[in-house]
Amino acid sequence: MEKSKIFFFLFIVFTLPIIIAARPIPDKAKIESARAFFKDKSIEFVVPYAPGGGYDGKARLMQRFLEKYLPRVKVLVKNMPGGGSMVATNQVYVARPNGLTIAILSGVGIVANQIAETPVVKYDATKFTYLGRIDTEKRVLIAGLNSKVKDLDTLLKPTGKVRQALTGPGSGSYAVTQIVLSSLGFPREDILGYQSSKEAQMAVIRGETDIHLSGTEGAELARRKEVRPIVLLTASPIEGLEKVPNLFSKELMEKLKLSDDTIKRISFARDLMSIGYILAAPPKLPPERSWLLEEAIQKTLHDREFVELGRKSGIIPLVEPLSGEEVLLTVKRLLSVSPEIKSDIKKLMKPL
Amino acid sequence: MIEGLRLIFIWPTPLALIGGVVIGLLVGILPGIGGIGTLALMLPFVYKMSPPLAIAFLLGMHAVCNTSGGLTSVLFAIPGESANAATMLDGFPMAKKGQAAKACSIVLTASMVGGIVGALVLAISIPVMRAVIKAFGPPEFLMMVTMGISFVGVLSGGKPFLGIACGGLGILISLIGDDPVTGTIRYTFGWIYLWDGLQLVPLTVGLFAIGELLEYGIERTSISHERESRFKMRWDQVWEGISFVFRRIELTIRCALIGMFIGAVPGIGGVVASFVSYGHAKQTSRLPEEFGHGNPEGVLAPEAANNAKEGGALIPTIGFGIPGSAAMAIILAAFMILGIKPGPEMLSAQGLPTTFAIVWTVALANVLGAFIALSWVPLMARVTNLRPGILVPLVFVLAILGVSSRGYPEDILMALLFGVVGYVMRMMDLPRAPVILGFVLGRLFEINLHLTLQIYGPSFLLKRPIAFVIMLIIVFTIFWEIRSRLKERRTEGEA
Repeated sequence: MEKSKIFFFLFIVFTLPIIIAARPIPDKAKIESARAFFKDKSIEFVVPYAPGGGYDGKARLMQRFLEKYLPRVKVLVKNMPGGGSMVATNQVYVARPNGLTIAILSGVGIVANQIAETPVVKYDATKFTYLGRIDTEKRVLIAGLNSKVKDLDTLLKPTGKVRQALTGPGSGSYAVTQIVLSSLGFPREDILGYQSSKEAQMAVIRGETDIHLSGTEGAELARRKEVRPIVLLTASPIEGLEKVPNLFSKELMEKLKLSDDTIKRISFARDLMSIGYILAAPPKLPPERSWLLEEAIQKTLHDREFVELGRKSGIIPLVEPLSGEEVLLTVKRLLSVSPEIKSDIKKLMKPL
Repeated sequence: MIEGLRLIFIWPTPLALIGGVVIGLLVGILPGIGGIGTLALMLPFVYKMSPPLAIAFLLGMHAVCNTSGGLTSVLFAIPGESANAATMLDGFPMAKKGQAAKACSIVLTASMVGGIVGALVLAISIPVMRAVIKAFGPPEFLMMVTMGISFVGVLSGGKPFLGIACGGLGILISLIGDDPVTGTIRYTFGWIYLWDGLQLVPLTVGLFAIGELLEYGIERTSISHERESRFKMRWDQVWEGISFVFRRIELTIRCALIGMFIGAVPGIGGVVASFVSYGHAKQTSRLPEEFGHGNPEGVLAPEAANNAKEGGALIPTIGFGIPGSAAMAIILAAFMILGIKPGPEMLSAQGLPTTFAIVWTVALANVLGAFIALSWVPLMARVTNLRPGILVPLVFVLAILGVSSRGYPEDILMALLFGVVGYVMRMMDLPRAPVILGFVLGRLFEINLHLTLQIYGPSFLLKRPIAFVIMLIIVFTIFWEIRSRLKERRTEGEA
């Protein structure tokens, strides 16, 4: 068996009891009444983007398993696109806290928008009822096969300006990746306006730009040798790209002799990306109902069939569950960010 | 190739194909149930299927969504899918003339031929399409979009200046929402609903269907002005429609190739494919003045392009693993669950049977879809004779269902608002089609112009020969159009 598969197995076997045992169990009678409440009801699973994207894929993958672990409950996926996920985030925040509305949200989006005090934010990220995390955000810096960027060395000391394909200025994801790339200090020319990551990936394949900081789809392209993987930005491994240097690793940060200030910024970006794809419900959800929902979610995230489907489809290459409590603690920690980073985020989240 | 066909015929795969096709047809015909949403909904069902079974089910369903979506465009001016918007420009006027069954039959037959052409070209072009797709970047997209915009004059029904003004209105509307380069939020007046811009379906349904609805209500008429055919099942028109497509097979294939090519380029989209084909059909028609008033070629062209584009969209999905559309992103996820790895492997001895199974599924689904739906046509066409007392509430419900697929009440509000605009435009005899074209192409033009100038600078045409050739075609087409109009006027003057 491959090392990574053994790791998956051990991860699944050992983390579920730890997560479940770590959660305070509400009164047994209350749990039973919550179970009775959910029976024969429908839960609306809100996705903040249109069908066909990564968030939608994750929610639909979870749907069947949630129904398995919440017997006699129907889970209905509802797409609520708009405002770069802010429409859904605001709506879920004000939804009735009865357990019949849950959502998959962008951890980076809700925290970065709150730090930047974006006018559309109508929520307080510390008040959501968090139900867990599915996986972390991962980035792969990809380069075209004929680009002047061949590896990390040629990226940091290129023969001319490195052209970067970019999507979504003003979004949380954009802000985080720009913080990291700016800290590396290589000469860069940003080509802005690609409508989605897939168009930016095509730009790299065609050779009209040198690099693009892609999501896990970039890893798939790299595995198929359509592009060259240059550096990873991930707190956890990416299958097949174990030999690619990871900027979030201590060794590489030391090797590059980065200043303390730069390390602070990169560490903040790493922590922000680690909140990843989170599951949340409106604030003030009765504890026994959130307990039941979280239990079903955690069982789903530890279901071997679910993990395997996520990996095979590329929708969730590596399930990395966290409990709701842990998500809340991370959110709180990230919101108390230093004034310098706060000012960086504010600048990057403003229109250019 | 034979192995691919054999895979499709292993029991119960044909059953999955039929099931997929029937669901696809129903989804297409019921406005409000989006094809992409249904694909996403069906994804969990394929987890445990074998690859050919899942391919037959999902691709069978997806291949025919646009086929039946064209029927509501013809019958009520409500496009089932946004790619069917161009079909109503001539399909609905045909229904008004009492030729609904003929128009529906053209929709289905042209879709079938288009789908088959798309599948065939997909089969033979995968090895070369990688190179072609790589050769097309923002400057070429910009020129293709410019070509589409140049059709504004063509869609103006003899009023080129009014057409350009209405096209400009469409472009202005397309600028609502976030600026693709700077992220600046424009013309939203603080309303978060407008951040992603206006949606095509509420705009189209408003301008056309609700505008027409107001007319039926006020003038108390039915859609079809042909009274005698009220209770007839028009099988004669069905045959007429089928034979029309085969008599214009050359045009059908040309439009299918346009659709296939645009579908293959990620980032342009099916709506552009249908409008460009429509413009091409009008330019090459012997009766261009009849376009917009119920010319059957105007129905044939966008529908052939629509279904062919699905074959095209499979090329980057299979060839690079980069989905050509949101629907293809879902299909790609399904492929990967089933262990089908896109990329050059699909052309290896191991991957070819699956590739051909995909090709066969697309082709067979289109044939099957057309045959099933053709049997519904005479009955469906009779709704155009309904009394306004029944028709108005029916069309209103369908229109509301059509615009509420995203579940936002604001979409309904927008459709009603544009309904009033559409009615006023109709009263003032202003062309409405250029507004839609300007809206569809405006944002694409803006994005590709910015990208082109950033990457290649203002002299991009000198650096990109393909873009230069497309530009020459545009200049030649405009010159030809002006010349023939001047010639017409001179002849009229002399007469």
